[in-house]
Amino acid sequence: MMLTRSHARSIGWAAILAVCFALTVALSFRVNAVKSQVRLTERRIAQLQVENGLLETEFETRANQQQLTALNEVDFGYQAPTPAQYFESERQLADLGKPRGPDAPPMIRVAANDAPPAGTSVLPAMVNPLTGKALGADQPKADKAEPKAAAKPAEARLAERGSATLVERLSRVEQLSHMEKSPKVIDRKVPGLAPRLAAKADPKAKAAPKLAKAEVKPAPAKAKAAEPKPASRLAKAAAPKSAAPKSAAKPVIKVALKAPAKAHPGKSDRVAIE
Amino acid sequence: MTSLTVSTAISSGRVQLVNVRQYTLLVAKLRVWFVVAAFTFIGVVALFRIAWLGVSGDGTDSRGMVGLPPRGEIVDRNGVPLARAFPAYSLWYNPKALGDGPALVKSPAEVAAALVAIFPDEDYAKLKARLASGKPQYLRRRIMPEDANRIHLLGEPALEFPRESERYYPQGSMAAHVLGLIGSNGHGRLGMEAVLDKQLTDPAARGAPAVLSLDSRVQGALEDELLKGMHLSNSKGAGGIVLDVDTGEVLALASLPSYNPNLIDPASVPNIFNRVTNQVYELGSVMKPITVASAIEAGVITDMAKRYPAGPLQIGGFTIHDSHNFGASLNVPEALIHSSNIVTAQVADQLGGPRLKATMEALGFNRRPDIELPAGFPIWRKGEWPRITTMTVSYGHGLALTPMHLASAYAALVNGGIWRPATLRRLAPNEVPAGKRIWQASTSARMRQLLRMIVSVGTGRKADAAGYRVGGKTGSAEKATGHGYAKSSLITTFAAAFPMDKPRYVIIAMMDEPQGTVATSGQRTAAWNAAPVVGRVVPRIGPLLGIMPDATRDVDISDLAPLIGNGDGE
Repeated sequence: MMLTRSHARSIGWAAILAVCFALTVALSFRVNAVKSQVRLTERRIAQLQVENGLLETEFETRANQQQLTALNEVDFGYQAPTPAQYFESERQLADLGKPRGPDAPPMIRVAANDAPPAGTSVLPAMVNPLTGKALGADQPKADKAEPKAAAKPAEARLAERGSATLVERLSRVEQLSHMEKSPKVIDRKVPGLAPRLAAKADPKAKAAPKLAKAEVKPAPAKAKAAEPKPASRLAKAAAPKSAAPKSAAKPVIKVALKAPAKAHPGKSDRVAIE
Repeated sequence: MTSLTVSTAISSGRVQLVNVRQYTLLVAKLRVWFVVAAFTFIGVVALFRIAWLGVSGDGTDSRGMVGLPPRGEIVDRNGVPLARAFPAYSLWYNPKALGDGPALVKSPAEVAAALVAIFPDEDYAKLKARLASGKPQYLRRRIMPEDANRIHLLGEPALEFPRESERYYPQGSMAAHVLGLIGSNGHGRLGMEAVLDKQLTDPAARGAPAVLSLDSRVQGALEDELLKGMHLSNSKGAGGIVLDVDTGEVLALASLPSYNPNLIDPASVPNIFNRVTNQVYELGSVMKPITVASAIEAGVITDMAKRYPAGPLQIGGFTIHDSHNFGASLNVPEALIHSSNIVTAQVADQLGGPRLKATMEALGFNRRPDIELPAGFPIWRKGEWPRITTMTVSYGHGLALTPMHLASAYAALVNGGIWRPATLRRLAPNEVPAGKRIWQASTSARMRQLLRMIVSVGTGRKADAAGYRVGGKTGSAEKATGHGYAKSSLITTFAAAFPMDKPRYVIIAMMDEPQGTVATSGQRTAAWNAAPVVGRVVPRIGPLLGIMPDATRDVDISDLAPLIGNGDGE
């Protein structure tokens, strides 16, 4: 059969139309498919929201005030903090660190390497805003002669210094070389012993118990160093204000229990008496 | 001419041909147009369809409706949910689940017995009758998921457990009297559920939670301590309020015994009554500071050292007594510390009924308390007060108020003299009402000293939470019966504020019919049951509210301290 030009043209048109139609149908299917996917996703979102709400509600129910009260009464026994557990200001805190009495025996030394090695700055390193790296970070790499072991503690110390919260810095007992000639020793292992010794040696030296208080403190303060700093006043426990009052009392109670417990064993007493 | 004719002749044949050809062409064109139009139409329809799907789709859920609760949440001032929608299971009986055959696989009796084993409080006979009736119905609303699992194991397709959105109170019975209840129609019936019903059901507003002024931690502490105090003193009930003195926001409002709004059973129905806002009481001695403040304000008391005779007072056949004999005379600070009715009555007598009445009207004692909850109407004597009424009202008898009235009045007493309506909605700083001045700031300062002294050396010593500078007044009143007063049943109240050097919160603790127990040293008065509750609540809530205990601060009472001797009293 001879194909005339007009035939060919009309067949062409028909083919184009058919293709267009097929494309339209395909597109329509695709749109419907996407649409139903969206619908399914929405349904899933709604379902997850309901599930979320359920879990939230369950959590709130299990952690409601009455449950927490019951839990505290049975298991923890936390109580509201007393005024003695709060500091008015840093000045009041500093006031506790009085020099020892004239006849106080020398304190027990323990080994500690708190002094930063020479050459390291106490200030945190400046950070390049573009690369996000410390400006001095490349230098130790260039100097490969420096042993890695030495560099690591220094770095850790630097990080510790930079990130130390106010409470942590305040709770650190530093050497007061300008105040007293005999070195004041940080006694972390036997917090109750030294002040007791001091008190027995000179009962009139009232500064000693207070000093003891100041030295006992680093333990809870360090444990809680990661907690946010109280806004206006320094809770001794450094506990967050947002927590329930009972929980705020926790670390302090521990200290109160710890100090007599450690002071009680007869050994240290005997040492003092002998 | 010829040629023209010929040409005409020839052309006539051709014309016909031309006509045919033109006609054919026209038909062809028309057909093409027709086909084009048809395809265009189809194309347009397809495009419309695509556009339609793209724009709206046939989904029923539009994006905005996802996550919108059927009833808005209620949260406390810190965003802790107190009431929320909860998709709980309910037990629905669908007899058509198995088609047209019998509704149940087993017999109704067996199924009823199995259901009673799961829900022991169900009535077997009734349940059996309902199952046998073959009508679709709810067998039970709000069942636990584990119960739903156990019902599933029965293997009865007719027992369905659809999930339905129900109102749920995660804190259980805490703040139940504030939150209230919703009825089976889904609308609030009591409490803030009823007050906020419009907001909670409005589709435009219910997406955001309704914020109350309550602080759930404070509410929890108050309820806990009140409950302990109630048990220690064997009281019938207890009530308490914590109110912000500068804004009038209620941080906690408790009425005990409470009820669990998640599960209303016949035993808990009487507890739905709110003792703090619905019931009026003769509150007794807690009114004395209000009388004294009015007298100071009016210039009746100018000298705190002035002594009043303290012997029994005879007024027209009626004798005013004190609980103990406090000696021949007392001054005003001593009268408050020992809670002397006789001296307060004399002060009120000098002040005069009209002035005392005007102050009390300004404090809203002659109308319902300003709070969103339904509240009781005070017993208030209208018209001119006789002398004896003025005197008895001065120490809290012959006038019955709700504890809510008292809290607002004490807030004005200590905050510098400004009275503000109490509210259960959290107020933004710009929404705090200006209030109205009842007393001058100097009067308020004097009252802070006096209230602090009552707690530091007077009847309120059990409320003296170390470092929190609590000040307040005890009140123990015999309950009024039809004729006279019942000697055996007391209402004891302790109205306090802290810290007194800059008052922030008022606390009211009230006990209904406390008994003398070992824990209260055999005493029934407020000093032994209501005051210790305040003394325990304050250290628990103080740090939460930003008030740190401080033993180094206090109100300066050095000018009043020399005026008082030490002694006990109520």
